[in-house]
Amino acid sequence: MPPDTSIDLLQGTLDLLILKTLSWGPTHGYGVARWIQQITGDVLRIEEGSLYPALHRLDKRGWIDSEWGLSENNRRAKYYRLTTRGRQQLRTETSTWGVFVDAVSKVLTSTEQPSWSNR
Amino acid sequence: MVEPLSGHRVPAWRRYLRFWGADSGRDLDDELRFHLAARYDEYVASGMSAADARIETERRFGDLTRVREQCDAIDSQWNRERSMMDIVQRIGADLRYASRQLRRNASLTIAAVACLALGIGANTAIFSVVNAVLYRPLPYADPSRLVLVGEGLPRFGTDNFGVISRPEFSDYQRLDGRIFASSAIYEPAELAISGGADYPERVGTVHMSWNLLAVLGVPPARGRNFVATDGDTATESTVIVSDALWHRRFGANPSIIGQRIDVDGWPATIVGVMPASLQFPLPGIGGQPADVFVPFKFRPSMEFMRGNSYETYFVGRLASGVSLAAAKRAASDLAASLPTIHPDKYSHEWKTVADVFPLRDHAVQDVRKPLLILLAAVGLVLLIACINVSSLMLARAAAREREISVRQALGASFGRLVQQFLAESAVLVAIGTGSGVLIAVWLARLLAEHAPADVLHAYSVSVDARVLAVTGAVAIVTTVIFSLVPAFGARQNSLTPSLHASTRGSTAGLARQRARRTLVVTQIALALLLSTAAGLMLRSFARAREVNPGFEPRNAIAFRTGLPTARYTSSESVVQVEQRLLGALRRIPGVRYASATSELPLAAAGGSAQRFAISFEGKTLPSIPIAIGEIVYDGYFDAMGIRLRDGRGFTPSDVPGGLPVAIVNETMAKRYFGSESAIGHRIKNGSPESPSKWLTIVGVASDVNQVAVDKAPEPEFYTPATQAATNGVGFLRGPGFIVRTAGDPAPIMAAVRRAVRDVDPDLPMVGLKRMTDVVDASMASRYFNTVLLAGFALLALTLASIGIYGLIAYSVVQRTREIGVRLAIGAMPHEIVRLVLAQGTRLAGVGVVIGLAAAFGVTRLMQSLLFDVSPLDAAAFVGSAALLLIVAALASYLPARRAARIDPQVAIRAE
Repeated sequence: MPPDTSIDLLQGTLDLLILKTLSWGPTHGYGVARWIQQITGDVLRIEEGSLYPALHRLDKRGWIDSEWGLSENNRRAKYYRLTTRGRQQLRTETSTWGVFVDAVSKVLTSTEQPSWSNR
Repeated sequence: MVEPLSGHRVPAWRRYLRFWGADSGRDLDDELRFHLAARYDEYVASGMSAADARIETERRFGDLTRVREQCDAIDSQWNRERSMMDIVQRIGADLRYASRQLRRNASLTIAAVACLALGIGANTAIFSVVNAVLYRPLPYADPSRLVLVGEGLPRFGTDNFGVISRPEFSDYQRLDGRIFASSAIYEPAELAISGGADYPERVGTVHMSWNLLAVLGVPPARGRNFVATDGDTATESTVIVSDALWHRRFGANPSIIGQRIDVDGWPATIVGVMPASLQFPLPGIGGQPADVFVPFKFRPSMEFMRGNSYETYFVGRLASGVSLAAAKRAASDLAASLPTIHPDKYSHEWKTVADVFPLRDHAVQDVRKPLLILLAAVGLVLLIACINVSSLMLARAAAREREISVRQALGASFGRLVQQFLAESAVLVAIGTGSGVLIAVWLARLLAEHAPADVLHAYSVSVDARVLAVTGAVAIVTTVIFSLVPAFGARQNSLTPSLHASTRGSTAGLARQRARRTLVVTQIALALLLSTAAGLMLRSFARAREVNPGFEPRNAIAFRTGLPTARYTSSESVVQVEQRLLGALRRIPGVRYASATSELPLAAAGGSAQRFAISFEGKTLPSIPIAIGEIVYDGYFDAMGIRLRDGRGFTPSDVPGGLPVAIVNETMAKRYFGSESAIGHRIKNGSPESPSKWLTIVGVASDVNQVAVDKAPEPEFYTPATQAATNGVGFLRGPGFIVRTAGDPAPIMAAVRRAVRDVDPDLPMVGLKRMTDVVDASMASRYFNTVLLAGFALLALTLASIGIYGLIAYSVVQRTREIGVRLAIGAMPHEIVRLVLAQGTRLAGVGVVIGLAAAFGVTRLMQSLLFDVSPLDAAAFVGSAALLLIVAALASYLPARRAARIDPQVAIRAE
């Protein structure tokens, strides 16, 4: 299966967020959603449902692993765990993200005028 | 469907379901349900009302159905990929394990692969021949729609000549549009050509209606096809040549179009070159593929041939939607109406009938059966080879009994074991088939080179996709059979005994021995069947060799030439130059006799016996007598070594103006005159009213096998060439010369060539050969079939003897202890040898009895291949039975001797 190369910003970002969240330790989908809300102050307002296709895709790619377990209040829940390959992927994507953010902010914060600017 | 907010928990029993594997749909529902429930709980805990919490949870989650669908799609694709990968990995592991197993038993593996390679190689090679001749489409457009029309005259004792009379083309053409999309006629011939290269040559030619190549649907590769005006008498002569001739005589020069070539001495312009793939005609429908295609120029004078000369092939392309049966009806109606349309040409008493048959059927009618018999024989060889491999696998299964039991005990299912055996057979068969195909490619080339000209030379024999597909199918079937035999052995095997049993042999071992014995008996029966068939062929061949052809082939050479109609226009000029040629040949030192004839004996010499309807003076016969007519020069009987039984031979005094004379052969004399002497009676070519002259019989010659050594002589009459023109039997234009010497004729061959060139340097010489070679060539087909069948029988014998050897050797190993005990209590070594030998010969005996019964049933299918030998020939049956028993005894002797040398002390302690 060739890797999904669509650079859908939201999806790629969501993947990165999930990987980062799981790097703290295994949790279920609801845990991932809760953590992201808590850290970001719910700025991103992610539709919680959209986490699940992302989780399953990452599972399929072998970046995360899943296992059934019991939740804090004794419910059966599917727990996700970052794999070694997932950890590598997280490192790569984090640095890519850094480059991306740098590049975008360079453009946004540039004070230099382009030659065709007539302002 | 998810019920998001029921506080429902997973029922306990579902965990047991999971024991049989994940249920991804249920898992997904559970996962999502957990999320929704957790979120809902949290909202309720923070003080929201149940209704608000529910709405907020759903809003927060988004489109539940879409999420579910997306996840499901991802999961199910993943599952598919995972199970595929599982299978690939398992097959890979099986194959690796199989290769390891096979490598561990290298000698057994090599034996099995060799058996398979020989069996599959021989099969593929023969099938490539069968495919080329019987199945591969002929190199014409839509060849299955091409048919031939053949007429017959029941009064002459034949319902189908396979040909029509040339002027009838115009009658049959009336079926065009209704029955045939188009139709054409052709007549094969052999004519002298010159042009291009600087030597004269006689080549196969086809005289044809201008549209023949269009009917075949094969346009020339260069230049143009014939058009209607090429058939006009007024236009200049045009020809199309074969690709082979273009290369041979014109060095593949592209500017060949428009060049001149002399055909039969007449200049013609080359207008086209056929593609190399075109092979026309074929053996069986006009002989070898032609080099020169010449359009007929129809003249009204040709009408005289109507209804009395049958030598024209009619080929039609069935119109779309017209069935063969409909064509048969139309042709037969047309033939029946011929006497009404041309009342002056056909006798109403001589009813004309016509039949229509597919072109290929007619072309292969003589070779079809021998080829299919060879294919059946080689199929039996493969069966024997397969049995050998099965037997080897069974032996190995026995040796691996413990391993298999352990694997079964550890939970390997029957299916899993079959899979493993399948992998082992697949590796074995793949290697065997691979080597077999290599053998086949080589063997097919060998066959194509050495096959007699009248069988294969017009077809291109090769291992093509269809042949490979059939070989592949055979290989797959073989694989399945091999893997099932040992696997079923394993199934019968109950677990405990074989885990406990040591090498002493369990009940399963006995069952396996019984299975192997059955296989070996089958092998012997099949080998006997093949060797009986081969024995019959060999006896036929020997009989055919012993036949006295009626002439003396030793110390004689023969050749043919052709006298172009353009150079030698009158019959006088033909006779004159032939007399000069004879004079020159007779003057060569060492030549005892030289003469010439219209028909050299045996088809292989290029003769094509011409048959005539004849009449006897003062006799009315129930059916019209047909006899081969031959025109000869004086001294012919001496030169050919044919003995005169009565009367005299021809002499130079049989001159045109003298008494018209004839000499008949013994068969004719006996059939029509009985014990009375034929001398002095008169015969005539044609009906008693025909304008040709009455010929007085002046001599009776001994019979000559004119057509083939293994075909019985027919009635035949000879007339002197000097009187031929006036007798009304035509005259010689393509004579065959026969030169007899005192000793080996080879040294005078050069002198013969020189003599002919001195008389006319433009005369082509064809087939200058010793007559002994001509006799051999006439038996080439029989020789080919006999050698192949004998080869297959030998292969079968070898394989069967390996089978017997393997079985007996194995049982000796199994019985080591028993034999040791016997020796210890006083058995003599020769008694042990007898014991083991008896085991082998007993098996062989059973196989031989079954094989004889089978042979008794099927050898009559090969009746048409036999010559002067009954299909139940005792010598062939007894001989091959004895051969099989001897081979079986020899194959058992080696292990028997080993058994006798067993050291009792070692043997008893061995376990």
